[in-house]
Amino acid sequence: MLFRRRLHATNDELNAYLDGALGESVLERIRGHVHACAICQEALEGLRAVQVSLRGLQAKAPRSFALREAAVRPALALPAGGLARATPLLSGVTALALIAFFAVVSFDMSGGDFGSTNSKKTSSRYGEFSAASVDNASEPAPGASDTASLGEAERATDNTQRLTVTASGAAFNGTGAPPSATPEPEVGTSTDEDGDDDMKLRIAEGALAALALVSGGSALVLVRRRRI
Amino acid sequence: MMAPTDESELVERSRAGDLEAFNQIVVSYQDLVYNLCLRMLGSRQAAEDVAQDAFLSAFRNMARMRGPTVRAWLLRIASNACIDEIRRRKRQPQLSLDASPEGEEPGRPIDAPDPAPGPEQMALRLELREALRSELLRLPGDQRLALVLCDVEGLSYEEIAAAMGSSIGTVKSRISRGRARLREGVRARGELFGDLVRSRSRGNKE
Repeated sequence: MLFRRRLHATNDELNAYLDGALGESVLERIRGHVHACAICQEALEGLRAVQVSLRGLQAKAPRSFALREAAVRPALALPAGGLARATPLLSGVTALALIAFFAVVSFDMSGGDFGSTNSKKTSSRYGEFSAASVDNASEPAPGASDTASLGEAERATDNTQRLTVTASGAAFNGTGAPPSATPEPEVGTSTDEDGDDDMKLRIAEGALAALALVSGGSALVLVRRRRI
Repeated sequence: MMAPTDESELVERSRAGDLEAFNQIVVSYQDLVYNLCLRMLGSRQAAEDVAQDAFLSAFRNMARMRGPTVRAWLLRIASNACIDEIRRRKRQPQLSLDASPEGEEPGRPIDAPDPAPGPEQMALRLELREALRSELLRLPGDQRLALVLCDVEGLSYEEIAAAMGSSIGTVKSRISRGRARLREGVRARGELFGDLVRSRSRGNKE
């Protein structure tokens, strides 16, 4: 048995022979044997016929596979395309609103007068906002609690909470958009005694802070929608 | 193909996201990649889809390109895509029940190994090629891939090992088993193979 195996070429040897992958000494032995052995010769020719016929299985590409810009770019540009264009715009609005908010607060502190009239009704809007921000401090998603904060509106009117508004505005900005302003700790208390002017200022501050909240919130919504 | 300097420049530009440069590479290798997919999958439509996806994936991953040449890289991606497709078909058997070459255009013969083959020889050879094409689709995926890369695409053992991510020893044994299986498969189909082999045997005995 051992003798026969040594005598006939193995399938691996015949294939390596066809591919020109045999070492010199083995090559000589196989060549000599195949020449003399009809069985191995037929086996080898069968393999060779397969090899040659396979080589004939050539086909040209039926069309061009060149990639089109449209097929490539959406996937590449998704994280950096429309989203990246929309978010800076909105965070820019947020930043502007916050800057204006601080400007108004500073104006308020230095005792300035806007000279406009407004009702007490909107004053509570400012209060509403500060109350909301106090509540929001413990919540993970600041933008999600807009409606909840409405209920708290009537209860909070104390203007010493203004500092919290500043802090929460900055914290929110950090979540939804690049930081654009830093809170000023000294803004904390208002010493203005004229309640009417104080109210107008609160309205202006509240409106600006709300604008910051809305634009930051839209930026967040955009981010989420794009990711889905 | 392409001059090496041209190609390495195109590769660099493609890595930087230059689609035009990458498309020049595509044009150079699309026959090679398409033919690999066609022989692996057996249907023209599937081959087109997989080849297109392979090029897209290659472009997207160009920055992570490894391997000696872009040709080896493309063949590796296309090989993996074909093996994935074959596995996917196994999970959905209705797609793979019949490996009929429907929709496949006949292979365009490029080779002319014999100086003056008679009409009988030509007919015989065409018939054998047809038989081989369907027998090829019955081989296990790894043997089919090794054999297509070796005998259809004309790659060296080293290149095949790189494309398949396996050792040269493994490649050799897959080719060897695959060829033997094809030979037996075709032989079982009838006498035409025996005739061809005998005529070749006679021809080879100087």
